[in-house]
Amino acid sequence: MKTQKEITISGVGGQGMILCGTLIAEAAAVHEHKKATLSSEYGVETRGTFAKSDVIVSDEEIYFPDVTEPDLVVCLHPVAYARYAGKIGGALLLYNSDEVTPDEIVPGPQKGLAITKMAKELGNPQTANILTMGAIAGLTEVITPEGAKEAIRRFFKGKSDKVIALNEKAFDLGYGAGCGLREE
Amino acid sequence: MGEFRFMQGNEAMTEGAIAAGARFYAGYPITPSSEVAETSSIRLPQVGGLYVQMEDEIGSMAALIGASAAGKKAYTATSGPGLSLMAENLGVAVMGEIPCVLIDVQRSGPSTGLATKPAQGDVLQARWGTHGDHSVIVLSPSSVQDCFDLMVQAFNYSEQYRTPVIFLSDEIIGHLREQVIIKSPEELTIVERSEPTGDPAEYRPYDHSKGLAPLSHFGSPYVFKVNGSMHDEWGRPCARPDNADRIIRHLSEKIEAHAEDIAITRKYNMDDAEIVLICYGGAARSALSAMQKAREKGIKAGVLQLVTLWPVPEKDILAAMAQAKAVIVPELNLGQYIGEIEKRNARNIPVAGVNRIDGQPILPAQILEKIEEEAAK
Repeated sequence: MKTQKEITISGVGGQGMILCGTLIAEAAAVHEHKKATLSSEYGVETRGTFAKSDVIVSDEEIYFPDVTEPDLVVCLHPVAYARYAGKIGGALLLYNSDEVTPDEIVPGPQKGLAITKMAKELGNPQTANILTMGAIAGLTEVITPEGAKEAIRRFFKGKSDKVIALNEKAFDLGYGAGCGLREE
Repeated sequence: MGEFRFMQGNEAMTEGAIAAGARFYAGYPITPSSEVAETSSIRLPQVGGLYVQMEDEIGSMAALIGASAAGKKAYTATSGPGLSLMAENLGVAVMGEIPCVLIDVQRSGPSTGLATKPAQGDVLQARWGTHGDHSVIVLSPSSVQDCFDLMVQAFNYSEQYRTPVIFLSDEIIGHLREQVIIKSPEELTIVERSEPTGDPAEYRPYDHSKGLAPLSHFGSPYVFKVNGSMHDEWGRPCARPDNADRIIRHLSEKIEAHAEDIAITRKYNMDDAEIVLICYGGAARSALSAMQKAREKGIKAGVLQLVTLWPVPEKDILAAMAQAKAVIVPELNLGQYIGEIEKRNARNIPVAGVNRIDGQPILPAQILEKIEEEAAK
């Protein structure tokens, strides 16, 4: 029986997916005392081509650190959506509806969230990855908001209170939206 | 008590090096090892150490030798193309018996290859990359905890055996983030150099008649000559055939005679294992996952993980070969270490590789398929 949660966060380089995945895995490991791994894949071009991060959270030792049986696949960009759409089995797919046009090829459930628009409305499009982190937490309950906030504060340590507050707000916004999608 | 952290493998190597007492880094950043350079440039100055970004990898290796001869524990990090450039001066460190640690975070090659993708293509280069007969110690980590713990071990072996040690990681482990305990100094055993004693005029840095000679440092009254050419006990050039014979044998035997002391292996479900997976580094994570899946199906699979790749951990490999019905060697190359296993196949049992060279990790399912195939025979 499967005892671990597996999440892929995919898009193109520069969208902050590795940070998003790292903070989820760190929150699970450091703040919630679970086993967690983060592995990533990117191209030599740094920006604009396919990139992803794989988060695994488990109560037991994690051997292979790449996602093979996803519970959730997040696609922030059409390049990533095209790669995963037909090949994710029954996993839940969350797409950025500002970038991705959904396709019926997806075999399991899929849900859209206007991540880019929400981040812009918050005042900084760069918060999209933290907003995504919130949405993942809300959708999957893989980490608690408390653990997530601690990981966020730890990462932004040394930055201004305004930056920390903005990112916490982005998390909350994403978390609320994620919880809403889970209950749909 | 150590500190619990969530960290990247490359970052943990830097912490391990500093915990081992390393205070000098010279290197030229290259993916997927660059985070070792980045974190070393931040961390070394904090502990009174020095980080130097060099013009290239040839100079990096030369600087390492100089720093070590001046008495500092020194390290560098690179990937395949850089290892090739370091190979010449690696030979100088072997010949001069200068301790240092060289990290290779392997990526897909040859040449620039797939710069951001994992591979284990440098296994034989780590052993034989520099020219001439010699031995070398190569360690292979498979977790972020290993990146810390084994770095300390790498420096210890390097000092103990007066040799370069190659820390052979790969992109999977270098870029993996997971939990790690950064051990405190009281939890660690650190090997320090013993300084020579007695009359400085009598100091012979290459007189190993009473165990390995203590290593002096530049600036000390115990004068220490480093010579890449054949040298006598004093370090003076010496071309006598008997001297050359003695030195070349010594460079191999000082390591090979202690192979069992240097051997680090891990055994998983080996007690009753019939199908044995012999693996190392990033591919060990795939193998362990495959073993778990095979056990769930009732197949008696076990894992012998080699942490020390060179010198070859002979005893454990022979024991595994003696009990196995078949051996599977998963590697992210076309089959490099499998040759060492095949050489030791006295019973002529099936030895099969599971190989991947497309820049992607070996999937546990690929290994499981091979396990099932061998189990059904």
